[in-house]
Amino acid sequence: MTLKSTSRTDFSLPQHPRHRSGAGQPCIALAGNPNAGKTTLFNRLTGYRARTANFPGTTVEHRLGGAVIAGRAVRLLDLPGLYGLGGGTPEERAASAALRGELAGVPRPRAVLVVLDATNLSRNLYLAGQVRELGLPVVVALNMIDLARREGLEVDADALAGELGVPVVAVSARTGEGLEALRAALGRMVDVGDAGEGGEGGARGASALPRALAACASCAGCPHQARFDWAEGVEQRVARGGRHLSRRRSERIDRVLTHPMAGLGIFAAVMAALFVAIFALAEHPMQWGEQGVAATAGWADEALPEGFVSSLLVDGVIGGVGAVLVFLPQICILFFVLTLLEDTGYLARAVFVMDRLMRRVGLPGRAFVPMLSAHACAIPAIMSSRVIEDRRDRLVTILILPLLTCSARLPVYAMVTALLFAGDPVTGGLVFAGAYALGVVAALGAAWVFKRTLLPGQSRPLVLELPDYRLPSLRTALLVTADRARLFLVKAGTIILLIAVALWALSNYPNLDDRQLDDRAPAAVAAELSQWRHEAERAVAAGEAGRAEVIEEQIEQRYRQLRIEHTIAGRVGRLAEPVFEPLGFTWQVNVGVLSSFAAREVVVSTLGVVYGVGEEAAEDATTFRQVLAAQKRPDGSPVFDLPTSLALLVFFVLAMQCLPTQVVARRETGSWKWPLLQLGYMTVLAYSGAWLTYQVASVLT
Amino acid sequence: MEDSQTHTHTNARDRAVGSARGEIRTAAELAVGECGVVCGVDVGAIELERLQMMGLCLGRRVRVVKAGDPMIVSVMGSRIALARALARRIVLNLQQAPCRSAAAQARE
Repeated sequence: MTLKSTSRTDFSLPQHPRHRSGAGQPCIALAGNPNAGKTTLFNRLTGYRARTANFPGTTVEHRLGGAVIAGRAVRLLDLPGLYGLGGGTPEERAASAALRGELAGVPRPRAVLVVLDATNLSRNLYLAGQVRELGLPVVVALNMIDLARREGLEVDADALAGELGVPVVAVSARTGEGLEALRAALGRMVDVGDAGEGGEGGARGASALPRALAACASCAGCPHQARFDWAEGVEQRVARGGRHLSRRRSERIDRVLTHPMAGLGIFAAVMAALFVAIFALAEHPMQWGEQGVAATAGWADEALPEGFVSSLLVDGVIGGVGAVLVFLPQICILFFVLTLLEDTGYLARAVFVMDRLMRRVGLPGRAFVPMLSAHACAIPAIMSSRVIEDRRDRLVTILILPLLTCSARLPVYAMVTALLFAGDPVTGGLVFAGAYALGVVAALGAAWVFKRTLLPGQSRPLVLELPDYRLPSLRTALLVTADRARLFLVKAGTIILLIAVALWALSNYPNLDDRQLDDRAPAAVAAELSQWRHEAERAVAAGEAGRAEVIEEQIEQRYRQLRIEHTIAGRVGRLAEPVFEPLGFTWQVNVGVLSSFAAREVVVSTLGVVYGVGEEAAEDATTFRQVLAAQKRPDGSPVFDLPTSLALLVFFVLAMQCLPTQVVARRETGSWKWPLLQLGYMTVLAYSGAWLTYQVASVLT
Repeated sequence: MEDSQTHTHTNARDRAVGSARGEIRTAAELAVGECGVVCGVDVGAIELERLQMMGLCLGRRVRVVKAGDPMIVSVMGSRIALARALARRIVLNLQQAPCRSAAAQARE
């Protein structure tokens, strides 16, 4: 093979013949430095018609959206933010391959729109210089021209066009200034691309880049130095003046926000405010969500004849998916606030102050973003761990994320604190906070251990641009939030649906009828049932319809209990009795634990069913608590005493207990090895933690 | 060169001239406000690439904005947060880049 093709074997990305430029529409790629306003410009050009997806075979995201440029439909491809093209990061490799049209499923760009930050030309020009060498038609958007003007910085777009040899349009993606001129320039470029479309465009690009790459590899530094010299020269020739107000202001703010003490304090305050916002603002939407799910379930229950389909839809699909969907408001608020924080530039400072602390357990400062997200839900958190560049750092972060208390654990915490400390809100609150703290400590401890054993090595040292502080764009934040929410629904929703249905089947089958249950019921239960039937008959005879109904309901519940005992989940729960007995769990609790693998909060309703609370009564916290608190073991002692309840709490803090998270972890790590390790170590941790809690609490009480 | 773990590129003449006058220091040794021109970056290949793309590359002028770990430097008009471990491997020539007046400094 030729040298050219071997130099490309570095790219482990799927390739395809290069004449597949999508659905016939010309494609324009957007390239630019992080913080150059590329996303805002993309949103301006495409409106709401963009979709986020991964580059094939990678976790690098790009966005593809439709736009109308000079009267014709084109597709815009938003590449990840890049400092340069030659580098070895996944983003840079994927972006280079995409620009050369070598990625399956990603249209080959006919032109490239390079987005430059007018207030920081020299560093931005570096990438522009590299892109120009690809041989594709290039248009430069000189973004943030309004900011530059406000600072007294004059950038001569025509002179820049002369230097680069490509059209340059001054725009402000924030205000919309110059967009028409940009569209016109892009339109001309696409037309030119049409005229020259003889297949040689791609060849030109392909020959230019490997040469630059080869130069980089053989002589580190030289091509960079020359290019930077060129970039600085261009800036000097085309830009004049500038008071660098925002730069000076940013440095002043940074003196406080990156201060070792003050910066940490402000970080803690911002995070506390974020948490309050997530829980306070999401409360009502979550209630509406719950009501919506309940109403849908109720409607389906009414509309469908009782039986397989109704049960599958109501308990399996609507119940299971709904249980996870109610957390969507929290996830949306989290993403919205995080996007705003990123847009202002604060998120980079948060990474800065956290880096020092996270480094102690071997994680980079960047890992704090997914760890924060994990307190809403581990699934978007695992998806957002892509911000961590180093593979080992990312794997460790993914492994520990499910230890952090996600929202799905809250109903379990609430149940246990209600059982133990119903009349004592202070102790209840402390136990709640303790459960959160246990999650954080366990996560950091696990990271420390993994970084010293399985995935050893220093975390990647921090190199991070601290952009100037800017006012965030609400529009961008809303668009990003909507996009993230859609991604969560599509990716998590399908998995959750499958798992919910599978677990529904396990906890409903074999579905024995009352007669079969009579045959299998223990003598005591059978005697009790026949006594209740006599009572009901007597009540009917005595004309006490209300009393008869109560007794009938009692009988129904007993049958529900018997039924679940004979399902696969019930049998496994029985089988697991000796395993969980040292933790003080009864087989009913085991069924709850097993059934909560679809979604943790399901344990609450499952316990409601196995202890015969009745599904409706489980909604009512007081009744539910009283029924559970009244449960007795065969020896007459209460089931939910302090040791068992605390052990259950600790178990749920530390246990994996979430199949959707595991499936997402599999997708993000590319192998089942990591989710299995996650399941394994967390189960061991949860079991030993719960065992220790039970033993210590038993001795103390 | 491709196989080696570290890529060193130091402008030998600059280094000789600088060390004779005691003007060669690493970025980690500079005080806030001090400037220098990069004359050597001695880190692993992956880190080298990341630093170079952000402008921490031969011939570029660097000013220290904040000391400590991580520290902040200003290069090519942007501020870069940098782990001290990396800053220790970035060699600067102070003679080549005398810092200008305080106002001009703030602009960098």
